[in-house]
Amino acid sequence: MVVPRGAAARGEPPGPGCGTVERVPPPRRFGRRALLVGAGAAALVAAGTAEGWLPATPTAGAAEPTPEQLRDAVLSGVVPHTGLAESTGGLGLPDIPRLESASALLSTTTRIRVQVAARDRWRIDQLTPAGEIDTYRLGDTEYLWDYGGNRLTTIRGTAPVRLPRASDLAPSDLARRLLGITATEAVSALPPRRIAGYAVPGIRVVPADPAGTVGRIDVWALPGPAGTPALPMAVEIAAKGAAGPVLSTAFTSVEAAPPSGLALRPDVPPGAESVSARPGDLAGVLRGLGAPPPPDSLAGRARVELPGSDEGALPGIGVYGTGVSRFVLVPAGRDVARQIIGGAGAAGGVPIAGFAPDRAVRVATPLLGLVVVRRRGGGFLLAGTVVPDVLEAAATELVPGVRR
Amino acid sequence: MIGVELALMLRRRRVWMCWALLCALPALVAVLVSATGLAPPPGRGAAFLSAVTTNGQIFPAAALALVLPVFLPITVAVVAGDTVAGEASTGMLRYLLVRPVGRLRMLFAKLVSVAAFVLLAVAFVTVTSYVVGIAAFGFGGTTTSGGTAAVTGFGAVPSLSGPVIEPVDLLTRTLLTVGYLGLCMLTLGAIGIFFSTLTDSPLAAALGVLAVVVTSASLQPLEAAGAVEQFLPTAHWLAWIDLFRDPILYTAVDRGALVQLGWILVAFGAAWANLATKDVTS
Amino acid sequence: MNAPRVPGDAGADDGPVIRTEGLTKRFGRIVAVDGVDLQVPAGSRFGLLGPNGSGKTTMVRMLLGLVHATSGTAQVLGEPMPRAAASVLPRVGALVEGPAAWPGLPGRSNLRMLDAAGTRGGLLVRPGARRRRVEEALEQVGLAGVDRRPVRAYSLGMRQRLGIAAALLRRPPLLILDEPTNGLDPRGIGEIRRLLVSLNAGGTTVVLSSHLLSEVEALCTRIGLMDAGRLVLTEDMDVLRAPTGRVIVHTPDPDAAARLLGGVVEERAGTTVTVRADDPAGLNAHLVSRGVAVTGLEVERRTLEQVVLQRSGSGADRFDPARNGRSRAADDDRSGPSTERIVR
Repeated sequence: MVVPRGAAARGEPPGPGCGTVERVPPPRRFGRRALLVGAGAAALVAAGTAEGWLPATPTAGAAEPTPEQLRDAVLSGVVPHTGLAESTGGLGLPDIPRLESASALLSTTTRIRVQVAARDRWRIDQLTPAGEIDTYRLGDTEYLWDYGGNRLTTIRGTAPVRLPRASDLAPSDLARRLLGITATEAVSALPPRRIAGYAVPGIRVVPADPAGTVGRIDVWALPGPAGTPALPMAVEIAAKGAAGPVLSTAFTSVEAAPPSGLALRPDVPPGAESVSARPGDLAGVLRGLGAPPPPDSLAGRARVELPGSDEGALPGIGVYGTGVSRFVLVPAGRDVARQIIGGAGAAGGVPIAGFAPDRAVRVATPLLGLVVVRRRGGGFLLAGTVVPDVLEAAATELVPGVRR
Repeated sequence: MIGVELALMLRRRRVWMCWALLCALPALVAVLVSATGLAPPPGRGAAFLSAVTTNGQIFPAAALALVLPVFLPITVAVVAGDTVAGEASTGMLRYLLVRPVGRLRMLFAKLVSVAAFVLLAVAFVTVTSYVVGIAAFGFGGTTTSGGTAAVTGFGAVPSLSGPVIEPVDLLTRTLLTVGYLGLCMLTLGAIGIFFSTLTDSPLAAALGVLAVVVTSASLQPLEAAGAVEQFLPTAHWLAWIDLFRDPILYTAVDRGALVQLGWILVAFGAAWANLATKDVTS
Repeated sequence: MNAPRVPGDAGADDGPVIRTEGLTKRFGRIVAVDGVDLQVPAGSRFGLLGPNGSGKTTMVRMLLGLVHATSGTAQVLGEPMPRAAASVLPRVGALVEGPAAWPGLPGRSNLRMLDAAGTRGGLLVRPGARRRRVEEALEQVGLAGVDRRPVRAYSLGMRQRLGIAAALLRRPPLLILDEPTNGLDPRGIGEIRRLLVSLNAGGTTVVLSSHLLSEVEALCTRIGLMDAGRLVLTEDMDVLRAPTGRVIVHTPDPDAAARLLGGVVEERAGTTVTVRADDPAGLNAHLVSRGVAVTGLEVERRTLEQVVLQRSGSGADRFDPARNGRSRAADDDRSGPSTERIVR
């Protein structure tokens, strides 16, 4: 080691032995301050995710309702509430022509604003970054405000059958509907979950029908005081054999208070269009197709009497099945059917045995099945939460001369 | 020090260039849309843009939606990345510190000046685009409904939910939007200040901020990143649109504001932790 | 200690204005400053001298709290640095590694901003007093008549003057100036030198860090010599430049002079004869009386350059091929491998 002149002249470097010099350890690069900031960040994240890790213990004192009591409380009435919900569909439905809006709804995440005053007085908005589509319900009348289309549509009377829309995915509405049609099934308790700041008890319904695709329906509902309705806060639907839910919807924030009356009244801003529609308009289209009346039973399943519709209001349409294992028969024009068959083929549809490949197609997802058939007089759609075999059997029944 | 920082910011040509560019983009869009009459169809293009042709008063909202995703972050990144690294590269950092200006105090003054920059940026865009919008599209007083022109009066701006927003209400909502977007951008500003303490190169710090924006924006739609989605700095940028619904939906704005404040606290704390113990050798 | 001081008062304290003990700074494996014990007496003009990379600037930065010492302590104006920076630094004027300014602003605005930056309340507090302070500082460095052009249009010399003006703004009792005459022309160097001497006469302690020997030699009353991070010498200029006990005789007849003086002649070169003698006047009389013409006679003093070259190695910016495992041949071999010295 070369010792330069300077160091030699200076003698020994000052060390612990020198006495006068205090050797402090070198400052750590990431010292107390960095630690402090790290701890602060961790605390903030913890506070932000408190919903996830706080124990979901229901408020002490209140007696835990049994699963059956909770279901009855959900079905017993509507709790006025306002809130913001998020539904996530994992249906994986391919883009089928003419059914895009419904398949998008069941395959993506949707923000839903819910304002409910009573069973027939509510407003549910589908919020998008570029606008919103609002559904108002006032008594017998429904209003549809579409910001993008700058149009308010007034619909008098309700259609017994229609495509799913965002308002169907509000947790409260969906839960009540699903529990309503499975009221005879057995129900079991689920561990409580924290939703929108509340610890909410849950119940599970496992449909018994072996031909249905719905594996389980989970509902979390906040019970009110004894004797009052419970407010459903989250719903999950899972297909048979699937681990995760294919459709889940839950409030991210909710308040059990009625909305302001003003918010429930639709308003046509200047410059916007206001139109009227009747569910019967659809009937006119259907009549034009000249579809035969639906048979009383298909694939061994009885036709369901649709509520609130006189016979023949929707000619050719039939709903079959029980509970959540149902399917619907909808007549369609030849062109519509051809278009859907062509598009569905590209989107992963498979041909059905006994039919020519350009005549029929089946699109199956874990939860929802769809069969489209084109025939001489016109076509039809079969869609529902039953295994594909049932839909194919129904299609075969409807087209005479086809043998499987 | 805060006063000095503000005075210095206002005397920087780069800052005025940023503001001018921010105001120029919406003006350009307004001119094009008004000249061609081709507004993007609803649901496509920036929010509100489809509605401006009928009412110029909604143009500020459309303008904010236009500059929010790219332009605004770039200018904030440039200005925030320059805060400490710029002083270091000119050598003024050491002279400020021996003046002496306390390191924490200096950082805080930098944060305040960045906050002033973003607030003024958003405010300038809002004001100029209001003027441009009215010049290009009018007050929306006349509408053609069913073929007949009808005068519906001054200030009839429809909310996203339909009901008309009164002029005073519109002002309130616009101010809330300016504040909220200012907060969102201040998050980037605080991150930029942190990066600016890590390097002596303003460009590197600015690029770092943009890298954060791009990373955050690309993680956002990813389902695999669902657990952190809520905490991404860009996750709540569009929540201000809820301010134009009726009644105003505050849930997302509140949540977004909290997340932004958290980011600002953490980024500023990190900047302080780094600078307080840093050897200034520039 | 926190009480505001009158300029020139700093020297009144008995202790040194700067005192470091075992001050050490490592940047990774490189030791920039190595166990420096430095004392700068109040009222002195202290020259911190050393080749490039010897640790002068790092020393200055540690004294100003810009760089945190790895170990050791530093006191400036009687208070520990960097802990007491808030009360010490207002009393210190500094020029560190070249001047700096906000390039877009004129010189005046630069000084005004800088002055306001350190005070509570900023620009709005007593702008009149600030303007006076700025004008005075500009006048001191010869920039009183400067126009409103931005600093980015300044010449190197103007920037240097502006930097010194910034250091003088608060009339600090301690000035720490790193290469203050860099970029100035000879006239400017003379002006600044006179300014520093007059400030010093008023009681300001001036610490000058430089690698220019002439600079330090012309100005300083005491020097500290740094080499490879160590302080190898601290001495008063008077002592360094004391007579060596030899007299240089210029004569047209050196042979005669040498013959006459005999054993006391130590060196001969051309027409000069270097003689060991205590009494130059007697020597002169002796030579002249013996008929040896004397054209000049001077008492030999060491130059600062000799001292420095004798006591320090080459600058750290020189990298010679490493000669590992071999010790330096002689003490006066100072082109040793600096790489080895750095990693020592």
